[in-house]
Amino acid sequence: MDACLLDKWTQQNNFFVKEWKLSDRRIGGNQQQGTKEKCHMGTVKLLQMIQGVPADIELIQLELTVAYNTLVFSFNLSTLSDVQDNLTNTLLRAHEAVGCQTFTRDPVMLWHATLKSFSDTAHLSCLHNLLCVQWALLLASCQMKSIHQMLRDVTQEEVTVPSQDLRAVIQKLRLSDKENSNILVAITAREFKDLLQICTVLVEGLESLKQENYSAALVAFLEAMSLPAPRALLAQVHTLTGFAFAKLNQPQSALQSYRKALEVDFGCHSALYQSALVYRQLKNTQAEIEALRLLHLALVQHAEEPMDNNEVMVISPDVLLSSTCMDSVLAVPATQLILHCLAYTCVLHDRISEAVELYLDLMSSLQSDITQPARHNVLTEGDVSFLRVAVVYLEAAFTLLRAKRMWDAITVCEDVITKTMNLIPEKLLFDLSEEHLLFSMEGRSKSVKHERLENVLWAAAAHYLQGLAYCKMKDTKESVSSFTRSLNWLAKVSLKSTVVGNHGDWEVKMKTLQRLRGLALAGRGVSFMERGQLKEALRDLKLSLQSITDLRMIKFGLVEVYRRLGRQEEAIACWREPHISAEAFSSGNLPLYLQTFPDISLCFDISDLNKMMEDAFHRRRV
Amino acid sequence: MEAIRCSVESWAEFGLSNSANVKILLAGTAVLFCSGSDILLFSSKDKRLSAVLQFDTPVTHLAFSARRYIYVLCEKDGIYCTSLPQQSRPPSPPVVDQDPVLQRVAEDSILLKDPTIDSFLLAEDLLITVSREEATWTLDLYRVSDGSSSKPVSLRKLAEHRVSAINTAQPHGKTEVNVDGKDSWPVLSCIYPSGGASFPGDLSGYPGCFLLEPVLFTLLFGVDAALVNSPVVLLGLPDGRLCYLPLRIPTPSAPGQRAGPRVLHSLEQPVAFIGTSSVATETGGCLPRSLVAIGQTGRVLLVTANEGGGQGKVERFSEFSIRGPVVCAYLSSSHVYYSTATDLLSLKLNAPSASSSSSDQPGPPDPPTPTPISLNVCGVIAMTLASSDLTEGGAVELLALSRRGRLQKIRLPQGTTGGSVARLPSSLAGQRVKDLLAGIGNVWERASALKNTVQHRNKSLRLLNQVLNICSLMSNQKAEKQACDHQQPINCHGVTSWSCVLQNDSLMLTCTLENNSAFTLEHGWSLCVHIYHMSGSFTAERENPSRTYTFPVQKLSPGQKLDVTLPLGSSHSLSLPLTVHCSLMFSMCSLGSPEDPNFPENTGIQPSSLPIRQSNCICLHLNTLTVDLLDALHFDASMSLSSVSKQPPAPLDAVHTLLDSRGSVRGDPTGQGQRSSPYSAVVKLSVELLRASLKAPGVDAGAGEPWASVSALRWLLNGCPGARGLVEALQMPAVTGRCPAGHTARMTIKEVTLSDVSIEGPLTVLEILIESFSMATVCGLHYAVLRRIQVLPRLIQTCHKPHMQLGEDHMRRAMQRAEALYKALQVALVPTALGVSPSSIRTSHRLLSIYQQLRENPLLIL
Repeated sequence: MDACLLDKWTQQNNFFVKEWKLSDRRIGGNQQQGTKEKCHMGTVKLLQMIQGVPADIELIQLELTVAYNTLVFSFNLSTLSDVQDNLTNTLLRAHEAVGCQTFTRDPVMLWHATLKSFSDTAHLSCLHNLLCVQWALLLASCQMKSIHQMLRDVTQEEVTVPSQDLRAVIQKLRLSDKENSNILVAITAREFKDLLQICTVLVEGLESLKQENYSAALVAFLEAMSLPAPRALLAQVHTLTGFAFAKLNQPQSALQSYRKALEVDFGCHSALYQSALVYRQLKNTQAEIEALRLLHLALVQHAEEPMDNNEVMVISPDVLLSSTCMDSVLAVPATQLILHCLAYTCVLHDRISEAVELYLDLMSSLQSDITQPARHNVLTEGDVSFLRVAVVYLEAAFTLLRAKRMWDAITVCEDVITKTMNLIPEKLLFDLSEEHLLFSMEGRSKSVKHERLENVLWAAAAHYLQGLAYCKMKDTKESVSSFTRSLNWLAKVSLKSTVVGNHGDWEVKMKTLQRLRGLALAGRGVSFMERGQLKEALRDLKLSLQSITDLRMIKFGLVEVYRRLGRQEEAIACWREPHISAEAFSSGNLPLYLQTFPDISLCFDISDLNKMMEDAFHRRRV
Repeated sequence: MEAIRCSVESWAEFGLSNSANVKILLAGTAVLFCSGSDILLFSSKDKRLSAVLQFDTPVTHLAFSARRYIYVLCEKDGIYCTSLPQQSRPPSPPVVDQDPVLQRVAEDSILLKDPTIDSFLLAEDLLITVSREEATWTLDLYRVSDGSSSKPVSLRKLAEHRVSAINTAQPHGKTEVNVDGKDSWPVLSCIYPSGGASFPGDLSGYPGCFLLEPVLFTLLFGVDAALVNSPVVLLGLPDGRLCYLPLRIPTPSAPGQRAGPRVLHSLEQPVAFIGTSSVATETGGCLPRSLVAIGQTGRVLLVTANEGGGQGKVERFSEFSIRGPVVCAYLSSSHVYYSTATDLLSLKLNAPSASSSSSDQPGPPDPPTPTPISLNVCGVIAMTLASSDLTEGGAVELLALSRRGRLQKIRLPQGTTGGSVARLPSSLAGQRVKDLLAGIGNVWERASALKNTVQHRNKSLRLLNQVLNICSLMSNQKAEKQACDHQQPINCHGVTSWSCVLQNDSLMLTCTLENNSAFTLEHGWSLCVHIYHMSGSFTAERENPSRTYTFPVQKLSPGQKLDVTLPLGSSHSLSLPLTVHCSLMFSMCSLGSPEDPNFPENTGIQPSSLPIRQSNCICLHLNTLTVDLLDALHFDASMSLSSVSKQPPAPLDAVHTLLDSRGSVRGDPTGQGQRSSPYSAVVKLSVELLRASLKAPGVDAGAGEPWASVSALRWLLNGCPGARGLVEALQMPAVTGRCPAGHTARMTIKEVTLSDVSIEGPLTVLEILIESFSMATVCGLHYAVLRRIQVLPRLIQTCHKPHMQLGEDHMRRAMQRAEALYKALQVALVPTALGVSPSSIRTSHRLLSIYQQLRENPLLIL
């Protein structure tokens, strides 16, 4: 009867394992999951049946194998603590079967005892299988010390050598791989061990990475690279290696590693993203844009047809590698962020027509795509900024302006204005000596007031850009009114103290405010000049010089106004003044749309003006 | 509590197996409601039960899509999707007692198997489900698309969001909260900003989807959501929280903010209903101005956008309580109808409008809590709008299902919601007026500018039409001109005259532009006269090689003439001959009006940058005139027939005087035909040629001998400004004139008969002799005469040209003479050709003698 039952149970076990493996090979989401759940439930029931009879040495091999299968299945389907509990129970029953008592539930102690009592028996291979499960569990919870201890117990003779190096221990680890061909297992001990080995090395590297010990991490990753691994994992290892190289300031080696990662698995988006970051660091714009473009393309295609991972592992490495550090390296920003990054880079490098297309794409994507929550709730490395829709709109308007699509720019700005207009209060008072403290806080404490400040800045910037567009189209009446509106919004913000705390976000806001005011004044001054209202023009340009000192455009405007007013002396004096700094957009954190570009808002020819002033200057000297 | 009379029409009564979670839904003409594990289809037309759909487990929620699919959520099972059972309408006369169709929904029509789903919402092509698993609420988003043949629709998961649940173990038991002790369900709704681009065409088909005014929308859900017109999912949880999730906001929209649903408010009691209430606007449309949420025990939350007293618009949450429990509710414009299971009540929501400003402070009292009005209908547990047409008779019709299973239609008299016109706060109104005025000003300005532009363009087009007509006319004429010398419809001819300016005689050219065409030459055309010296070096020093005069034509109607006079030079500085090109120019610049600087406006192209000035010009060539010495001769009465004597009228300097006196010493002019000291040149012309070409009136073959000579001289002097009176009086074939430089010259014509020229017989020939002491004058006159004669052969048609056999002797002699002269010329030029500086006097003497030989014995022009 026993034998009959044994056969029946063995057959059942084999059936479930086969089913599981079959479903792994099949493609299709829901059904696959259903089958797996069924298999899992089946093995759980089978195990319960087996455990229904008293623990017996004859049954122990079957029981341990079924338990092993159940545990492996449950890795994907239930929580790790459940798995640990089940494993402990199984071991306790094994002890029961051989008739020795243990009361400890601490895994390491328990294994120490188990290995001792089973050291010579034929069931060692089953036990080693279960040991792998334990190893995986410890690895998933990052208990490297425990793994070290436990594995040292397996390789008993080396106990005397106080090897601190876990990797050395793993090297020496020999698991018995006597397979019982009658009873199928979900994954063989050797495969499991290979996976565990690379994962263990990786986790060690990641730990070093977390402690910013990049060279140690690099050593670990390089070792992991030499180990057998599934494709996707190998690509990740290459990416991590590249990351370590990049941190060690070896960008070329880093790029090489990323390239290898892509060769191994093109679906490794993080390698593309990381190489884009390296290219940016190297100021290789062309390559950076290319990489971002590829990444965007890959992400879009990926979203459309989720790639079927061909090689489904019984145990996914993701379960074993649960380091946030790894997530942050391997995470890729959302598609829209990538698109924005791409467009932004293009504008910065004057590839306007490209940027226009990208911004339009981005806007249509924002308006139509349902956003997906980030898969990992961690922030990515690199400087992908958070996307505010209004900022994207303003940047798009700026780009359109540069591409001379004036009416499009005006329309986009109008959108921003209508949405923010109602939210702007009559007065926004900030006490600078306190406010920066508030700004440094995060989350909910960021008060409504600061959001209102953002709104003011957006509305004002939108009006300013509209003014620029009208100015370009020589509609000076409209441009004056647009600039005036921009200034009116800005005037609603009043600052109580002038002590600006050196606090990133807050400082940027104040700088933005100031620059925007200066630019709007300058724009209005130039518009007034074109309308022939020279007095007003002079006033505005002088005021704008107070806000922005380093902009040649304003100075040229001033010279021109003096010239038109016939105040030649002042014109020459102003013209002769050395301009302080380079025109380059050295804004740091200022928004893109407040950048100045060469032909911004000047309606007259600078070279002509220069020539005229030179002539006047020489005449006067003669 | 006052009551309103409402009419109730009972349609049918069913035995409801479970009155806990009854939903009623209008799908076209069918009324759908669930009862236990069945869905009953009631035809509102026939007023009878038409079909029953059976499921395995109790139905908790249902929805109906625009594609006529029913989505059914079954307890502990999942969402099914099935089409409406065929309304079997046989062509046979309607059987009154037709049994309802009983249809068991098969398990394979399950769309989404998930036993944890508590509720779902269908919004356009989105399916939003909410499910609870222990400590978290999960919000899943799916996109519904057309499926394969086996399944009507297919789902694609888009996103998943989680909200951690608050343990809702209520201390005072939930029985009083819930009607039948069942757990309460989360409520889902989807809010769209009104007027946005993603504004769905018709929301009435989707219960649970509402529009919301953009300002409030922006305030509640952020600028980002408003900018992308993102729909927002509102989730009312049994723990009282109202969570919202904008669907289209990029992940974490601000640093530190968590992605996913955020809490808007908490009612602190299970949410029973979420919706938006609208206020009728003056334009007739409905503006959903406030967000309403109702809790199960009767707490009502009203969210409106208010003036925040210097803070811009602020959202305002006002709460009040009504008598609970609220079993079901329905919102129709500004009225909430809700059932407390014992009574149906109507509640008018008067949104705290602009009158209650600065209401964010706790001080000022809230507007009086609206009092519900009883409608005296009891036991309603589910209701929906009976017809989507709201304004029908100003009444609202609701379909309600009572606890005992009675399906009834309730007709409610809707109080006219007049007077609640949205008013602007004064500060905004001022701004609005300013904006509007500025806008009006702008529009007026633009309109007048556009009007001007249109007028101007019309004018330009008319002008351009004329121009093109004239162009085509002229070019046609040009082609025809080849065949016969036709008078051009627009032509120009010139006459020279002497005028005395500051005691200085100067030669004037009067050009006459004649318009014989049917078109008017208008503003923009100009007559262009280009004067330049003919090639050849009469004078070494020419200071002004060419001059151009442009005369704008103001308006030249058909038949009119335009005379322009221009100086050719004073008598001393004049060097002849001159070539005068006359042409008509039209500049395209004049199409763009000069007084309108922003002519092609709003194009972004600078009009001044167009290179109109140079290239965009139409030029029509009229004709070319030549002014030669013959046109510039002076004739004085005193000079006529007197002996040739040079009388320089204004000797320039001593050298000239000296040279002239030497010439006078040398020159001793005597009678005609006598070779004496003056230089002379001869042109021989056959009389036949002249006769054939000049068919002058009065010129007759039998008029006597001297006619030919005299008329020839008249013809030659025709254009001469000084000879006007002289020509008529001319009797003798000889005339003496004074050229501008002061030298006198004589021109004599005599008729000779040559016998050896032609073999046919003797030939009468006119011999034109030009004599002067000034070589230059002789040359100039000779050239002038030749130029006039050159025209002659062209005037004669080929058929009239007499065929003439030339005499051999004469030919040979002429050839010999020519060859000899040619040789002499070459010999004379040898030193120059060798590069040796020629002794100028000798060479020029030699050349002069050759020239004289050439001129004295010219070839005969036939």
